[in-house]
Amino acid sequence: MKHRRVIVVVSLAMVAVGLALTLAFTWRLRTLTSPPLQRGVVLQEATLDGASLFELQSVWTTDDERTVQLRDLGGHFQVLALMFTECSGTCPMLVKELQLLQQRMPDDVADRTRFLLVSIDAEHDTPAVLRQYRDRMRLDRKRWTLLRGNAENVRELAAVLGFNYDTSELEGFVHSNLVTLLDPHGAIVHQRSGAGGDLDVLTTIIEAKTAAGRR
Amino acid sequence: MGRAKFAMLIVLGALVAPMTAATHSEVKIPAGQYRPFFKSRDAVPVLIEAFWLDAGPISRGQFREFVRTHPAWRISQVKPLFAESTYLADWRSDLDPGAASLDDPVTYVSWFAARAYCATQGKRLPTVAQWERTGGADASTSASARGVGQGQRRSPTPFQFAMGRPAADLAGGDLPVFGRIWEWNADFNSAVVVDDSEGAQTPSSLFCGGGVRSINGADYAAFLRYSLRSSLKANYALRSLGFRCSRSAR
Repeated sequence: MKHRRVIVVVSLAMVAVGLALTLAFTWRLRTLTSPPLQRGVVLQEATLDGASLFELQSVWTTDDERTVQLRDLGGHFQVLALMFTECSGTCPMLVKELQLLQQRMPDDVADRTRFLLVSIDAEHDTPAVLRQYRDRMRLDRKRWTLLRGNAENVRELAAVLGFNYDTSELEGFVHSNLVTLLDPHGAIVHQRSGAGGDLDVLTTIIEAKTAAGRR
Repeated sequence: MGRAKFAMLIVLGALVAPMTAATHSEVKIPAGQYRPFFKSRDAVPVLIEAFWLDAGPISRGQFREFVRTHPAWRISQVKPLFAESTYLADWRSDLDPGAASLDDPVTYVSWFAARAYCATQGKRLPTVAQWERTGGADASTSASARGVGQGQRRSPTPFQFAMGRPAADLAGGDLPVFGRIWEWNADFNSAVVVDDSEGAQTPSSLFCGGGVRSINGADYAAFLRYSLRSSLKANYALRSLGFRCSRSAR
C-alpha cells in the first residue's frame, strides 16, 4: 500500500517537473522563433536614448538662404536623411519613399511631422542647387527643410547618427542609407538603415509617442 | 644651496610639472603616398602632406588635466550626446583616474571628447588618410620589417597585428608608438565597409555607390581597422579605444 503511494507521489512529482520544464522551454522557444528582423530595419540603440541632436552647435543654411541651428527645427517630429543632389543611386528612391510615407500618414500625424534633408556635398550643393532639387523632386516648402553646411559640420552630424560616407571617384560619394526619426525635442527615437524596408513604422512610433505625451 | 633657493626651486618645479604633463612629444611625418584601402580600378595613390603626429596616445594623466580645466567634459557633467554612459568607465570619479598608471593611454573616451581635447592643444584628430599613411604598412614593407627597431621577432599580439606598422619610408627617423589601443580619427565614418559575405544584405541596399569599391583583400589588418571605424558612433566610449592628436606641418 505504502509502496504504491510512494510511486504515485513520485510519478506526480515527475509529471509536475516535466510540465514546468516544458512550459519554460516553450516560452524560450517563442522568443527564439519570433519573426526575424524585417530586411532593412535597424533597432534604435540605447546609447543615444534621450540625447538630443539640438545640443549640436552647428549652423546650417536652408535652400532659401536662412541660417538655422538644428534646435530651430524643434516642435515637430523630424524624419531626417542625409543625401546629395547628384546622387544617382538610392537617394532619389529614398526621397520618393519619404514622400509616399508622408502621403500615407493620417492627417494628425502628418501635421506634427516634418522632413529634413541634409546634403553631404558641401562643395556642390549650394542653396541655389538645393532649390532646384526641391523643385525637381516637388518637395513642398511647408513640410520639407533642405539644409547644407560646411564639411566639418556635416562630418559631425553624420558621426552622431552613425552615417558613414566617403568620396568616390565614380559616384561622387559612397554612403550609408539611413533614415532617422527625431522627436520634437531632437532626440533620436528610431533609425532605419538599408533601402526598401517598411517606413510605416515611423507613423506608428509618432502616434505612440504622441499618445504617451498626452497621458 | 641656500634653503630659500631650494624652496624656490621646489615651487618652480611644482608649477612647471603640470605644464610638462600637458606637453606632448611629437613625430614629424614627412609627405608621402598611401594607397586607400578601398581602391577602385583606376585609383592612384594619394599624396598626404607632411604633418606632426603625437608620438603616442594621450595618457590618463594628460586627460585628467584636461577635465580639471574643462569641467564640461567631466563624467558628472558630460552630455549623453557627446559621450555614452561608459565614458571614463575605469575612473573612480570626475578627477580620479583610478589605480592604473597615469602614463597609460586614456580610453573610454568618445570622439567628441577626443576632438575637444585636441582643440585645446590647437590640434585635431588625425584623419584616416594620415593614420594609414603613417601606420598602414603591411608586414612585409613596414619600417620594422626593414630591421628598424630590431630585436627579437615575436609574433604580434592581436592588437599589434591590427593596429598598424610604421610605413617603410619612416625608417631612420623617430617612429610613433602604435599597437596598444584602437584610436579615433577625425573622419572615422569615412570607412564605408561593404559586407559582401554570402547572405548579407546586398551592397546596393545598405550603401549608395558601394558597388564600385573593392578592397585590398591581402591586407587583413587594414580590413580590421576599417571595419572597426565603420561600426563606430561619435559618442561611443570603449575599453580599447583612445586617441592622439595631429597638426599640420605648415
